[in-house]
Amino acid sequence: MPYLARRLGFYLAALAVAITINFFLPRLLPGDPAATILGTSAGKLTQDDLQRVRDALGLSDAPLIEQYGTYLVRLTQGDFGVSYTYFPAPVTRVISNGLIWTLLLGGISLIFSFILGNLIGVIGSWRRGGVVDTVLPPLLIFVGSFPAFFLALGLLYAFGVQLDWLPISHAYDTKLPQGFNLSFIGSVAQHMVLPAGTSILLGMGGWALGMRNVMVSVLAEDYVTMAEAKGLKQLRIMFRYAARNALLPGVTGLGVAIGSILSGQILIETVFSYPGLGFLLIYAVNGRDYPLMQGLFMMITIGILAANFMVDILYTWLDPRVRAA
Amino acid sequence: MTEQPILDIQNLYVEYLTPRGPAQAVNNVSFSIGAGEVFGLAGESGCGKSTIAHSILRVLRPPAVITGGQIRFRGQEVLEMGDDAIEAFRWRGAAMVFQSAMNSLNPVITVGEQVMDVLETHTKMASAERRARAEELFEIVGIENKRLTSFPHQMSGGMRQRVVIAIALALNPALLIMDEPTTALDVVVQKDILRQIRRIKEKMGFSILFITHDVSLMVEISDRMGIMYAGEIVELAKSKEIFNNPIHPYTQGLLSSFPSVTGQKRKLSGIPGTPPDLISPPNGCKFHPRCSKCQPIETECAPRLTEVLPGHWVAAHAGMPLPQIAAGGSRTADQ
Amino acid sequence: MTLQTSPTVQSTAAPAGPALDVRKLTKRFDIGNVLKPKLVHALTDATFTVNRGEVVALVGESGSGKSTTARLISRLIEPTSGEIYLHGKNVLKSEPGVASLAYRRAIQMIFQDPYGSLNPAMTIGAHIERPIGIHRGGRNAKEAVVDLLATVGFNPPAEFAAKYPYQLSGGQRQRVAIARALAVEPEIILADEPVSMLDVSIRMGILNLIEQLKEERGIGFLYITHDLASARYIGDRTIVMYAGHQVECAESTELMDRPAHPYTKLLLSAVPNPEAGLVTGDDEARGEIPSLINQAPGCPFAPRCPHVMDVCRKAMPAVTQLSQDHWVRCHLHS
Repeated sequence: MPYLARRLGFYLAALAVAITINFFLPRLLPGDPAATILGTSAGKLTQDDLQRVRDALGLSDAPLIEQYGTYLVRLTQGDFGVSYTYFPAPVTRVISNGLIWTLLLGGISLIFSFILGNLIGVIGSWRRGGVVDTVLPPLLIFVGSFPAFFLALGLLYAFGVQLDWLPISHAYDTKLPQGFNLSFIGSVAQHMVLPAGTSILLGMGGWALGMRNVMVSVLAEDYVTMAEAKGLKQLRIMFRYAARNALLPGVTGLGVAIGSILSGQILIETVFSYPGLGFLLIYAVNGRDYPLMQGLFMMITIGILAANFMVDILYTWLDPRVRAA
Repeated sequence: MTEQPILDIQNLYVEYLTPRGPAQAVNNVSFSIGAGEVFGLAGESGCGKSTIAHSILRVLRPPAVITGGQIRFRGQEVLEMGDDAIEAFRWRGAAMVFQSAMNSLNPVITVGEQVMDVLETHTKMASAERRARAEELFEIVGIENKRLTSFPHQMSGGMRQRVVIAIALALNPALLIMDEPTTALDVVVQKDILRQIRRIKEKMGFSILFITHDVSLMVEISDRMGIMYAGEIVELAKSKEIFNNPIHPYTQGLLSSFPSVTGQKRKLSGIPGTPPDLISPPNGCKFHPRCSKCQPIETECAPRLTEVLPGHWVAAHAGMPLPQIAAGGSRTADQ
Repeated sequence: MTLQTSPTVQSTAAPAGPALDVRKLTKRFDIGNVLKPKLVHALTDATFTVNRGEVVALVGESGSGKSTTARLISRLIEPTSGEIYLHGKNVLKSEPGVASLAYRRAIQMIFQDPYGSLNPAMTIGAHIERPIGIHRGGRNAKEAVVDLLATVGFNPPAEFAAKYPYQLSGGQRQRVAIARALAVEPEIILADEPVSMLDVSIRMGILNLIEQLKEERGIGFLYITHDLASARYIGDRTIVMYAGHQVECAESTELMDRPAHPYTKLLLSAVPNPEAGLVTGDDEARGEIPSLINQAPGCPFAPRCPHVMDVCRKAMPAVTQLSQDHWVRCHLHS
C-alpha cells in the first residue's frame, strides 16, 4: 500500500532525527559533560571515575562521526548505559520495568475512556436532547477540566483514605509474590482502580463530546437516511453507518493519545506512587540521571511514532478512501 | 383506476417547527398511485415534494413533523404502523432512490455490502444466495458484478446512482420513490439511467413516485403528475394533458421556464418574483403575489383542488371562470 | 427574440475586430509526482472570439473544460500556452502575471453560486459601490448604484441597496452579482452557469436580463452552461466542448437543427423531449466521460462514438468548415 509505505518512510525519518538529537544533546552541555552531570561530587571523584562516566555516555575524544557510529551501534544493542539513580542497573532494564506498568495503566485507561466516551457520544447524538445527551457530556467536561493531580488527590482521599476501599499507592501489594496467579493479578487490578479511574474520568469527556458533534453531522447525511429507509435495524444504522463514519476524526486523536500515554501520566503516577515511566522520569530529573532521561526520551519518541503508525494502519482499514491516496 | 391504489395519500400536512414558528411544508396534499403507474410530483425547491417522499417512508428528520392526514399503502395505514411493521414496510413495500448518489452510499463499506445488508435484514437468504442476488441486481442495472467489492469513491457518479437503484430494487418493492434521481448527473448519463429505469419498470411492474424540478423531464417519464407550489398541489392530471393544456397560471409559468432545442425561438418569461416564505405565506392563493391573472378573490380565500375536466384537477374557486391561456400563448399552437 | 445585434451596439462599438479573441488556449494541471507524472488535460487549443453585443454559449458536461476556459480568460489561473487578445492586444504578453486594472474592468465574471459570491456582512449597495469606487472614482456613486439596481430589475432599487445578502433570494443575489459586474462598464461578461443553481421559475428572468444587457448596452457574454436549450435560447453562437476540446461550433439554431459531431447529436438526444416521450431504445454511445489524465492521442470521443474509425484513435481531427459559421472537428467530415 503506497499510502502506508509513505507514512512509514516519514516516521523512520522522524526517528532518525530524534536519534541524532538524542546524540547531540549531552554534547551541547557546556564544559565537560561528565563533570557537569556529576555536579558537585565531581571533585571527589578520580579521573578514572570521570572517564567511566564519559564512557557510559559514549563521550570520548574521538571524532564526532566516530562517536556517532559507536552511539548507533550501542543503540541497536539496546544499550543506553547505566542508570545513576538505580545504579548499577542498566537503563534498559529500569525502563522496561516502568514501561510495563505505564503501558498497563495507560492502555487500560485509554481503552476504557475511548470506548466509554465514544459510546456516550453515539448514544447521546442518537437520542439528541435525551438524558445521556444533556447530562453526561457537560458533567464529564466539568470533571475533565479539573487538574489531574487535584482529581487524583480527591479520589485518593475519598476512596483510599476516608472510605478505605482501595489501596492508595504502588501498582501491587509488595508482600505478594509476583507471578501469574489470581491473588497477584487481583492485587494489580485493585491498585489500578484509582489511577486508571482518574485518567478515564479526565479523558472520557473529550472523546464523548468529539464523537457527539461528529455524529450529529453524520446523522444528517443522506446515507444514514437511506439506511433507515432500507429498514435496517437501529443498531446496524447506529454503528455500521453512522458511528463507523463518525469515528474517523476520533481515530486521528487516538494517535496523539496513545503517544502521550508514555509521558502524559506523570502527575497521576506521582500522586499514586505508581512505578511507571512518568514516575521514573520525575525520579530521573530529581537525581540528574541523564542516561535514564535520554533512554526515556528515546522510548517516548519511539512510542509516539509507533502509535501514530498503528493509527495510520487502523485508519486505512476504517476509511477505504485514504488507501488510494 | 378501479382497482385499489398502491399508495393513497389523503390530506397530508407536514410542518417544520422552526424557531420563527411553524412552516407549512406540506399543506393538505392528496393523491394516489395505481399499480404500475409512474406518478410525478414536480415543483421548485422548497415546494414540499421531497418532504412528501420522506413522509411516506417515515424518515423525516426533526424539526419536520407530520401533523395530519393519511398515507395508505395497499390499504394499510403507514402512519399507524408499529416499529416492526414500519421496518418491514420500508424497502419491501416502498424503496427510495435519493437525490445525490454521492451522499446516499456509505463511504466506508463496499457497495456490495450495502446491497446485501438489505437482503440480510429482510430475507432469510443464506450468504451465498445474497451474493447471487446482489450480482443479479448489478446485472439488471448494468454494472459488472466484480464491482460489488468496490467502494463508492471508486465509482463515477452515474455508476453510483445505478448502485443506489440496484439497492432499491433488491426486494422487488411495489413502489419505487425516486427523489430527483438524476439531477446531479450529466445529461447523457441521466438519459441513459432514465431509459433503464423505464425498462426495468416495464419488466418488474412496480409503481414509481418520481420527483423532479424539471417539468419537461417529468412529462417525458411520468403517466400522471401533480404540480406543487408552496406545499400544495395546484394542478394534477395526465402528464401529456398538463403539458398540452396547463390551466393553473403557475403551471403555465413553469412550463414557459424551459426553452426548447427545436422549433421557433420564442421569448419565454418564466415567473416574476420568488416563492413565498412558508412561515408567513400570503393569504388566499399562495401564488397570487406572482400571478399575472390574479383575481380579487384569490387574495382572500384559498382555492380548492377541483376536477375541471375529466381527470384534470386544478386549484380553483367555485364559480370562477378558469384562468385561460392567453391568446397565442398556447403551447400546441406555438410549436 | 432578435438575433441581429441592435443598432445601439454600432454606436458604442470599439475598434474593428472582435473584443475578445482567444487562440489555442491550453491548460494542463500537473497532479503527479516525479515518479508518476500525471497531467490533467483540462483544456486543449480553445480558439474563439466574443464580439460586443454577442452571446457565445459554451456547452459541455462536467470535465469538458468550459469552466477552465472562463477562469483562464478572467486570468484567475495562468494558461499553459495560447493567447488572449483584447481588442487585438496580446494581454498575456503585454501584462504577464497579473492582469491590469483595465483588463479586469473590461472582462467581468459572474459565478454559479450566488450564495457564495456575496459578502454576508456588506449591504447590496456596498457591493456595487466598491467596484465603482475602484474603477471609475467615487463621484455620484450612490446614484449609480440605484441606477444599476434598477437596470437589473430591482424595484424599488433604493430600498434594496440597504439590504443584506441574506434578505435576498437566490435569483435576486444573482441579479446583484450582475449589477456588480456592470458597475465597471465591462465589455465582456463571463457567466459561468449563472442560472443552474436557481429555481427554474426565475431562471428565465436572469437569461432575459442577459439578453437585454446584450442588446441595450452592447455587452458581450460568454455563457457557460451544460444546458443546450438555454444555450440556444440566448446564445448567438454555440460551441460544444468535450473532454477539454472544442468539437463543434455554429450559430445556435443551426447547430441544434443540423448537428454534425456525433457528440453534439448525443447531447441533443439526451435533452428531455416532452413531445416524443422517453424512447426506450438503446442505440447510442454508452459509457461516460473519459479521464482527462494523460490523455491518449486521437479524438477524445472515439471510445464512445458509434461511428468510430481507425483514424479516430490515432489523430485528433482538424477543424472542418461546413458552412460560413459552422465548423466541426470530426474525421467523419474531413
